[in-house]
Amino acid sequence: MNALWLYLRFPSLQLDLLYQELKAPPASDSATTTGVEPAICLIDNQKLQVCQLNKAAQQAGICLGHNISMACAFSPDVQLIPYQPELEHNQLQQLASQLYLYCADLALDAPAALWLRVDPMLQLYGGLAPLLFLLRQQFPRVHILLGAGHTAAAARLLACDQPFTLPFFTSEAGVTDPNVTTTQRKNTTAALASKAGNRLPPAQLQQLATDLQRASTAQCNLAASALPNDVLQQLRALGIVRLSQLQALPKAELSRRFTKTLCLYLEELSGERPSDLQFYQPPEQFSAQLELLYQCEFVAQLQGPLTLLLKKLQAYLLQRAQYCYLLELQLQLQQGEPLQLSIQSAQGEYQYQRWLTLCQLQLEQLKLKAPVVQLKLCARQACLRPEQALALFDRSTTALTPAQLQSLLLAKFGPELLFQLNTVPAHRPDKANQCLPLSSGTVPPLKTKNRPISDTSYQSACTTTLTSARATEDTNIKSAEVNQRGTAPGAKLKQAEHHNFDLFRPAFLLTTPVPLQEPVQLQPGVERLVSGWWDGQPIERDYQIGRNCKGQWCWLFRDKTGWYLQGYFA
Amino acid sequence: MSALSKLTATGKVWRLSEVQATTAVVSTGFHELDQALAGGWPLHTVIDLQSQLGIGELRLLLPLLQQQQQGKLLVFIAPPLKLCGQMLQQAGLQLSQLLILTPHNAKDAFWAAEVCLKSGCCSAVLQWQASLSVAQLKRLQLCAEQGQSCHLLLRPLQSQLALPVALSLQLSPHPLGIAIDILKRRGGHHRSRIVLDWQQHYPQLCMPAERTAAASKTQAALSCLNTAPAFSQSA
Repeated sequence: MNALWLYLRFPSLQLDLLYQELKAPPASDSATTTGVEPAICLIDNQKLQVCQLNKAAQQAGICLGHNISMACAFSPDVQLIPYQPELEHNQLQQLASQLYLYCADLALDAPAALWLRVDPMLQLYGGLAPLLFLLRQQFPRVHILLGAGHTAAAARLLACDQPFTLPFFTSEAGVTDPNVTTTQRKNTTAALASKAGNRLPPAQLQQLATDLQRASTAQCNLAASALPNDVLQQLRALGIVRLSQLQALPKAELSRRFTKTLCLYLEELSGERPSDLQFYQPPEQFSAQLELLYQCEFVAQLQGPLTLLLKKLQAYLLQRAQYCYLLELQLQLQQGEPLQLSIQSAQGEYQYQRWLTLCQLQLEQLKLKAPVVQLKLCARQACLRPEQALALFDRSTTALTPAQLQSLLLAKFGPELLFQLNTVPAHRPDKANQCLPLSSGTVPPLKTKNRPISDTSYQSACTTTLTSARATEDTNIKSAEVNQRGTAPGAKLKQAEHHNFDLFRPAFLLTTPVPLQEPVQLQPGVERLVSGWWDGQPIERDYQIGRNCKGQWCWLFRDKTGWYLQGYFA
Repeated sequence: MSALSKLTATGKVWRLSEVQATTAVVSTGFHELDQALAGGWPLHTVIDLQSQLGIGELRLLLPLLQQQQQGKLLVFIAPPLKLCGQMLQQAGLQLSQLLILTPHNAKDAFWAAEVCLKSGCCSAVLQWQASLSVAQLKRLQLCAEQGQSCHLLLRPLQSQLALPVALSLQLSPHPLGIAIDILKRRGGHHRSRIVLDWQQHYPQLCMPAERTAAASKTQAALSCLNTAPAFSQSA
């Protein structure tokens, strides 16, 4: 069997998607709302002409190619929106990523069209009609012009010259496009009710079949072809308007008379030569953006559009069985630099409600300097969803995991207010006790493989207990002696760790020691720390425990400059 | 007398000593305190501790925190000073399961406490906050029950009326260890005061009577030391 190509053209993609996303009315209501819909035209910035228009604008008498003043004359309250090719291309990419799930042989034709090679998929879907029905379900509100041919070039030619309009219908309500006549509507509903393979109206199937037939005979106007303008001009001068006229001429003559492009095109049309198509590859990362029709001045207004984006993300992640750890949200302001937010989830999420909570926590703290006009969402870190075993009858339904709680707190407070403690083997208390900002999800490992150079890795770093009034502190002396004896570095580290457990340390430390200001009553037992001469922060301190007149237990030390307070035993 | 026995039989009048402890308790790790609290710390509720800084208040809680941690998070909200990891590690706490939060204001701190308690993945939340309203406390109580967590509220000494908490303790320094006034205990009898002797647990933080007498001498010695450079003779 020959290949079967579909060429889908989206004549008003930007306009359709503008509606779909921002208003998102239930499709069944569209027939009733068309009456109140304002006329909207998209204006091409370079030609200053109407390039896309909605039904209301058409009814007002505006046509494609009208300039701005004509459009305004026909309908004074017409809304003019600039046409953005990049945006439309972006939207095309999104359509493609959606279609890719149904048919992977997919090539894009900028700005708003794509090819599908459907012949390998026909058996799976049970024919062309169910496949088209599926396509329609995917994009319920996008206008689609269709051409079908045995070669990609033929499909394109047909779609441009004599397109077959894929009618609107929804799964429940049947036809919703008011253009489709009532008879067709009946047909569609009948076909839907039968739930047979052929879901398209029989009359239109007939038309599709003739289209396909024509693809071989090709009565098309050459003006719709992909030939360059100079070749078309040349052909027109010779009186050749239709493809059949061209095909009637012998090839040898054509190649003598015209440039190589024409011959190549004809070969592509007939299938003698494959078309040079760039097949679509789905992006590795999720990225979506949303233009706001109105200007959002308050953060609370962003919730609706953001939910839409997050739902898209959820669909994306669900299809791939992935979790996402990091989202980047970009708020394009009317003036000035765009705002960048990065939203992290330590555990990884796909559900849009969870992401929405995290986003809202960050957005709440945001002050908008200018209204927001565009939202852009990128998923940065995604990985395969780990298999989770959850309790079926867990009574605490709202329970979070520690990672989820951390992400919530991080979203609310940011990394500068959230800390985690860590200890390293060192004699100096300020080095041994570290207070690290919590990085998302990565709990600092307690025992790292690459240790920083610590005090105790130096053999001569010594801890000596000078005087001891208690038997309990004898162990202190012993361990200090062992420390001084000089052993292998690894063993030494272990001992240092062990030694750490014998230390008696206060619960609270002052960030910098302050000179002792009050009388204290000293406890017996001194701990001498001499350390740090190798890195320019030497200490020579005798630590003691003391009790001040308020009854607080203080951690004190004495060095060459006097007595200092380092912490409290809470 | 017969009237009273009738009432007792119908359950309209009851003796306090017969009331079963409704809330689960966990041993405090100190025998005297367990006795005074009829078993130990009440679980899944708010415990109010009034204390000044640095008299051993955290050490009193360490056994509780260590028992309850069990793979769950332990959250410290707005500690007054930097916490010492070595000390907490020595007490058997997993530092990787410990979060420290320093919010900008009391409102944020309350929000965080609520979220952590409710999450069901926190063993305990320690919060240093001077004042909390009755409504806030009730909300924290509900959150603690929902998330099966403990909220430990550490405040400076208060003159405020007793808050609607399950347990309210006032801690004060004592030469032998720490003195504990039980201000309020749900289902408990009356105010009582106990002194925990820390000779066994933390001998470094005890000052036996004979040494208290010699305190004046030490202070004199201290003033001498302050003037003389400490390391001149050791070299």
